Amino acid sequence: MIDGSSSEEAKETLTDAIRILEDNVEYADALCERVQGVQVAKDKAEERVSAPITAVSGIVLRAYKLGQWREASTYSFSGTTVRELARKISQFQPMSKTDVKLRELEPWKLDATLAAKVMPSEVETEEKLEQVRRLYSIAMSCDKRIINTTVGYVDVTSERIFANTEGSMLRQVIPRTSLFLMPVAREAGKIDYDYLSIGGNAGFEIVKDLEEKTIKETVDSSVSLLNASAPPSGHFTVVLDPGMTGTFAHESFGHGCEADQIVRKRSYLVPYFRKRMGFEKLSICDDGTVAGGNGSYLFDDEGVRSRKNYILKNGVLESFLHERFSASLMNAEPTGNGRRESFLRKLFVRMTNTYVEPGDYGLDEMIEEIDNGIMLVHSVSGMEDPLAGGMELKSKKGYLIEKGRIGRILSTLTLTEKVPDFIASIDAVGTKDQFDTEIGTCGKGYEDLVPVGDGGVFIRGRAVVGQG
Amino acid sequence: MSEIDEIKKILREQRIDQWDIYVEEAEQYEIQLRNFDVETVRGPVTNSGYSIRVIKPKNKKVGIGIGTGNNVQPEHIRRCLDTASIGADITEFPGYAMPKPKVFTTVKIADPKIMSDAEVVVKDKTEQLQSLLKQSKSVLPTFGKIRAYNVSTTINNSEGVQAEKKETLLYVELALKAEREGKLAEFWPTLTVRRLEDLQLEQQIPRWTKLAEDTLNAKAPKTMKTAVIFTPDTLGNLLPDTVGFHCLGSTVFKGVSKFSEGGQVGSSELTVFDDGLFDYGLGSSPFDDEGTPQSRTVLIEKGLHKNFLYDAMYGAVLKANSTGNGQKLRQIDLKYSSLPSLQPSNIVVKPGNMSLNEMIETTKEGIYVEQFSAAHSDSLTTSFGSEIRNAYLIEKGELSTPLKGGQISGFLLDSQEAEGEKTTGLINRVSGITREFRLARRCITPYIRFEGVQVSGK
Repeated sequence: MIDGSSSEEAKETLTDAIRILEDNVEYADALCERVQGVQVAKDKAEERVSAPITAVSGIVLRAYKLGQWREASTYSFSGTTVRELARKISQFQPMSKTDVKLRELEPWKLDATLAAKVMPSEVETEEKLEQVRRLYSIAMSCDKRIINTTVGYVDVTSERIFANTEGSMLRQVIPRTSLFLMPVAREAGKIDYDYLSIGGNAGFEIVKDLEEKTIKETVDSSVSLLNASAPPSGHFTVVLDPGMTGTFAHESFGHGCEADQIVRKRSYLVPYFRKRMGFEKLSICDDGTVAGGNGSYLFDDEGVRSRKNYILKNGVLESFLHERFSASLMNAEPTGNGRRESFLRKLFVRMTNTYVEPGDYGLDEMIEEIDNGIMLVHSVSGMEDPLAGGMELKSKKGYLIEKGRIGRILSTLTLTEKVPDFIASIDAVGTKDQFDTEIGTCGKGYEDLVPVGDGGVFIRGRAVVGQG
Repeated sequence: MSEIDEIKKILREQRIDQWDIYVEEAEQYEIQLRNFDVETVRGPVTNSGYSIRVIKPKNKKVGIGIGTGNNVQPEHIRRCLDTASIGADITEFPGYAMPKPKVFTTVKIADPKIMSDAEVVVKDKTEQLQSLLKQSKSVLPTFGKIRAYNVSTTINNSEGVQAEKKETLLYVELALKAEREGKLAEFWPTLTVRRLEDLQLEQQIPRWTKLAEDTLNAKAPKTMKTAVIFTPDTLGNLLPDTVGFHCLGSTVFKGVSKFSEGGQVGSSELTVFDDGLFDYGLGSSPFDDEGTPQSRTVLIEKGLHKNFLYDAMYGAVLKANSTGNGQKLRQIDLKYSSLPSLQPSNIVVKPGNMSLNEMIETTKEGIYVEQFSAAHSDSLTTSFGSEIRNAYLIEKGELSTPLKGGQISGFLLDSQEAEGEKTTGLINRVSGITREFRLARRCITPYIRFEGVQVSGK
């Protein structure tokens, strides 16, 4: 129960709204989102306890007629308010008209929780703050060169209830917990840092189970960056660590596979559909069913079951990711990728957990074969370029590779390249034992953030590298 | 307002001495386009809520807690207050001085047309956009968004502050595609303004379509060091997170600011303000999110650092007056639920004397960058590097070959390197500032030319 109404009352409110809408439009659905959680942060000066940035609760109604969507949303759970909104949008007259018939789906029912080992709601806020203080103290005591450490803990438990005119009634509860720790090191006037970021569909166990040695490793990495040089600039053979590989899979390739970009005629990938782009050992998946994945869920915000989708299989562009409208227009199946940031924002095709599947190359083997290259380690961010197929990936650190050996440490790098050229240049994909994942938030362009995961193994290719 | 009276009543019952109440009501309307067609019409999209902050002194420190909600039934207010009270009991901050009532300076932050009917404004602007875009024969929109917000905010506190404001915001995002012989190019602009007058779609659309068309002929740059002209839009992404960040009192307290008062931090041509009272600036307001009057503060004058910025907490800790920079960081319709933190308002760079044309004409060799992929800088180190999306080579004082790909990088501020070497920051390599300036996110800045900027290509 959140904010006074029970799940059953929320279901009744949505059902009432759907009843009002169903006689006047071709299709309608209603989504209720209720979010609880806490954000705890500490650094040298402040201890902040507040609601998480994504803790926003409300209801969105959506109606479809003649190729156009009409939506209205409210923060209020009052049945009267929601019914009024339903009446308002049920009478809408489309501003543009097309003959796109929305693909029908079988109705289904679900009421489930993707539970965590220690549900965050069962832990007092004070205990969360105590753990954050503990981690802060460990980081600060590891090395005298650490002048500040920021620790951020966030747990968000989201309940989403979905109903539509086809008769589906679904409910899922998903806890997501994350921890961020950033020790800042300073020596002889130089400041730098590395950070730790962990989490996913998980609970308080990620903090309780965090070992001191992991914090020490993060501190050591921050300190090691005090001796880092700026990276050289130019075109190099590069090795991406699993996090960077995941960011490449998501930002550079995945965004171009979102079918709303195809429908908008805004994807560089259209000419490559079902064609070879890379070598046969390279496969990229988007998988909303990964256990513990930050982007995992049981159904998307259109009531479609999540599933595993190959977007690149054995080097061939296999499929695109769909929400209901793009699937209808392109005569494809919805793939469970219709997501919205919250009831305040529109639904788009979004990724879930996107990763490069393992291949057969050992890391040592990959490096030994490079005469002059750069390894990029610890992904910071990436930016998509769906139309032109450019890519930009940033890493917190890197290493020169000289004559088959890891050399000097580098701080903050940017990698750019044309995505098809980069994919074509990939000639080594690491083994299963290297596989790792990271958590993140993904924007559709500049806004509309949703939780996602990405990852993979070490890969080797060629790209332009410079300072990040 | 009834919810504020109800909350105050419960605060009195519970004998809480130091508190503030932040109430927000937000409504948005939006239309999204797919190509020329309307894909989705959204609205009303409403979100209203309140937060209660409770401050409790503890020895030489204070505890600050916040509770948020959007249900004004007494039992919900009590629950919210319990959360705030627990937060104040368990947290520790180095100090806090609750803002006292003061006179607020008037600043324009609302457009009357958006306030009176945001739904109609969004519809009209969509039709205007469709019409202007149809005039181009070679450039097509792939998608577009127009979204308008109306937001009312009220702040009350235990010292007697009573502050109210109404503000508007309009967001436009477009992706414009040029296509020729199978080649594709795009310009992907965004604009956030407070008033319709600042949209200037009649001027912007031809400029944007030209950028998309020119990018069809773009080449990647070669690796070099050269002069680079940054537009207001590119600077709007870089300056607040670097110059603004290192002027925060919090960075001084935490020992990470690169600035010290009176120090030479930039070229002598450079004067920078934090101006929370700039009419229609996105960070403008008569008062900050704690109820302190916003102000105009000189940060850098002729290259010398002048002042730091403070909120109620760092003002108390560092024995300075709050400059009105306590800001809630979330998107405009979600601000109520977050804690304020010390942030710049609008970073304003003083315009120079040369025109943009003169700046280009006096650039023998260089690059003019209209848009990066994502030119965000690392606040702490001020390192940045980003892919060029839309740019031009400058040869013999003229814009020549369009550029796309490769990257531009550097440090915004002077930086200490390993082995004792120093890298001169971009703001110490200014060789020209234009008199033309533009609002770009939380920045009001001219075009600035920097010398010796690293470009990476093939």
